[in-house]
Amino acid sequence: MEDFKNYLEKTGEIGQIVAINHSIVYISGLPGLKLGEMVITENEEKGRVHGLDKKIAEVLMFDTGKLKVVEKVARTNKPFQIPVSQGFLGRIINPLCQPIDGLGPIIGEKKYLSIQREAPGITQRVRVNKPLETGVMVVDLLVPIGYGQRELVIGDAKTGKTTFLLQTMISQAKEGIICIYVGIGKETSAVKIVEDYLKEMNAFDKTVMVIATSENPSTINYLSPFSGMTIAEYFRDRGEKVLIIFDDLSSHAKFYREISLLVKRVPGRASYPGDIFHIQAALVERAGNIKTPDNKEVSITALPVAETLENDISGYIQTNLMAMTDGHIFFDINGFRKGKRPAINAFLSVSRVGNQTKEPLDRSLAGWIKRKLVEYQRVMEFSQFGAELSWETQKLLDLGKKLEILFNQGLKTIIPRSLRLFLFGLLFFGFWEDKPQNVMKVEIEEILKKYKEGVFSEVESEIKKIKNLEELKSFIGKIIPKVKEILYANF
Amino acid sequence: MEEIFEDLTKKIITKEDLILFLEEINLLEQIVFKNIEVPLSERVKGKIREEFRDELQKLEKESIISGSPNQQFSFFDELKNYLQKIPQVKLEIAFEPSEDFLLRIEKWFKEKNHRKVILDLIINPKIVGGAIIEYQGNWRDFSLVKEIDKIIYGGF
Repeated sequence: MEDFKNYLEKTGEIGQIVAINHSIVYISGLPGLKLGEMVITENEEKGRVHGLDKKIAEVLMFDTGKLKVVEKVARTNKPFQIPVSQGFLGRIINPLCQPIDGLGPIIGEKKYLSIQREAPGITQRVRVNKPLETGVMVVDLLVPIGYGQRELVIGDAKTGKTTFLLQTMISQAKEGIICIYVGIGKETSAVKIVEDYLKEMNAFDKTVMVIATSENPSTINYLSPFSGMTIAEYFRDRGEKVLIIFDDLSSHAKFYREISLLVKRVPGRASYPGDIFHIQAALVERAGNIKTPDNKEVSITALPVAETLENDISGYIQTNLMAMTDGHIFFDINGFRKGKRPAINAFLSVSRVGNQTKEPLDRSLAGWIKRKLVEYQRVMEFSQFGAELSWETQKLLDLGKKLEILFNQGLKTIIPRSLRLFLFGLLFFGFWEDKPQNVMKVEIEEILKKYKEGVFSEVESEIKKIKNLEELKSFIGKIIPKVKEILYANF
Repeated sequence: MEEIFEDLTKKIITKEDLILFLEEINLLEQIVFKNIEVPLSERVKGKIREEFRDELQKLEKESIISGSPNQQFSFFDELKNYLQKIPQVKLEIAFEPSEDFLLRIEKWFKEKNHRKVILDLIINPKIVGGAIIEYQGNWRDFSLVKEIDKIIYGGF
């Protein structure tokens, strides 16, 4: 990238800082300045033009440490750009693409890309048609996601949203998908937890972490998702599938509100500026499943996060985000308090395009589970009155509880499709019908352990060929003796 | 009024001249309300440049500033506004210029720009020769150092 003097000579325009207000800088001069253009100061600090007046321009600066009034500023005649590289994989960078992990500079060829690119048009887009396995059973079965989908992850703080996202990243990294984790306004300790988790699960090499912490200026935090999306587009344009996580966009909206109030934009609902919907929708719109010129399908799957307060999903930003995504996964604080892990409320979660990606078997299995869960919920309410319950009702209650047990999943457990079908096949067959819940829990643990050891490798390959529920039931019936043998070999 | 102001500011060439002139106007604004029986040009004797005082006397004779103190004050206020609106040209050159040189430069700018400009001079011997000009956000480097750099580093 060129320096101040080169840009000055190229553009032949000069300006100077007339006022500094936190991260907002007011510049006079530069008669040909455009909105969104990158400017550069004498100290090589870069900024992005946010607003233009007759004589003064508002510029968002990303590091105000060295800035002073009367400092010279030059135009670049380019939109704000960041250097993107293949070397970002396995690194933690800030939104300006500078490494912050202490591992030295990022080596390799760098490409300068604008942070604000137009979303792919309708002719480029293709239907979301391949399922994205999150490794979390309740999602993969009841709220399935497809590659290229934009699914909002919404819920109160500390309800396991980030854990679910990390599980998804691990599951996808194992499939060779590039994962980009964008942290907005996160604490350094929270970032460290994410980093350690990804390293422990061997998914870090396929991950880029774009981090803006709460210590950074609001402009850096505002920039963060745009940088992340630009990096995602870079990998997508190289023919890779990308998963991007924005953790979280409700904080992003708050940072943008802070900037807008500083530049005295008219505050709207909840003091957010009027263009907050446009800003975030334009960002999320850049994700999707598209066809490359050589007819290859590539995608950016976006999982933006929104935080709620006491399960209130009717907030301004939350409803905005719901409107611009293809569904949402709702993390219920009440479920979390009751010990549900993950605390996903499948009834309040929606996936608008995910179901079309599923195999008929998965769809019919999900349909059966949903039916049973609805019946279970109804019976649960009824059973609270203390009435004497029929045998069928008791059976349904038991099945409902067992479904809940099956959906409860450890933090580090990633469940692929074959294992999921195997476990639910066992339940569907009635393998745990007369067994106490404690025994079921122990047996699930044992199956997971043995599966990891590769004991069920044959089952795994066979189960993938099954087309419908009946076939699944008969297959499970056939392998039950073998399963029992494996489970009870030590007794 | 514009013509009178033009006449008064004819000799303001550089930013230093402008600052000095503005200081004198500020002083006049303070004095207009004091000792009003005596003509203003008499009251400011020894406090402003003789040259400017002569101009004031001329304006008094022509009854342009002989009115009430309030009228005098608004005249100077308008003059100040006029001065502040004159565009400035930042001129970086390598040597201390003579008065004649400055006048020629100012005349050249006036001809090209069709209006008066004030020169904000920066003496920087590092540019060797030529000039770097900054005007209303536009920047042009006509310095010799740029040409020398081109010759030295141009091939690299």
